Amino acid sequence: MVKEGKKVRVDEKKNRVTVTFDTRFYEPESIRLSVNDFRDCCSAKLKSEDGKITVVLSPKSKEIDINTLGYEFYNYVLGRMRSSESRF
Amino acid sequence: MTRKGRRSSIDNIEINKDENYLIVSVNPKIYNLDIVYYAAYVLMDRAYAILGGDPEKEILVELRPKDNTDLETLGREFNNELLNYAVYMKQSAKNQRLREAILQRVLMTNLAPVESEEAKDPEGIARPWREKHGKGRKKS
Repeated sequence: MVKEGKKVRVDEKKNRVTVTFDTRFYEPESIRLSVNDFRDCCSAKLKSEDGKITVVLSPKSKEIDINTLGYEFYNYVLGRMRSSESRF
Repeated sequence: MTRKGRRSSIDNIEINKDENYLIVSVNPKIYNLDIVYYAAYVLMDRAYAILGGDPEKEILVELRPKDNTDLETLGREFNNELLNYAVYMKQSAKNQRLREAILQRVLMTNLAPVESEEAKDPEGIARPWREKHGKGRKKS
């Protein structure tokens, strides 16, 4: 049994969501490209440390649901990895 | 990602009804990471998928349905997709040489014919009868 911290953290007060990626599963290049694609609707910060990449997303519009944004981003990165065809 | 909560009847699925998500545990020796990616990708329109765990020992896939899909059904469907892509990849590996041969043959079709001894036809066998004996034949 493997225990890990929460991958999606929502901070409703500061109106931002923090998502953590394990680079053993997610390609850093796909994460970077996804962040770039999300820049239209969110301000994004990217941090990298110890095989993990952390992305902080703050939606620019109130119409974006902050509770699903992190999960949408996770799915988007997975889709990006497929379209790059480097992994699968 | 943690594996807490009530255990379901299926051994590799852990369902957390309170927070509406489930975790599927995958043995990478049975289903490799590429198969897990495929299976997660297929369910992406109906659920949010997060991969975690240890790619060498135990891959944990967290699935959160986007709609009111039953958690156990979703977990079972993910297991089915794993099997589906495992079979696909196995068949694909088996047929690889055949596919390459077919593709090579298709590409060769467009090449100009090679002039060989057989292609020269010194006996005139390949010439149509009409050309040799019919009306308007060429006198050689």
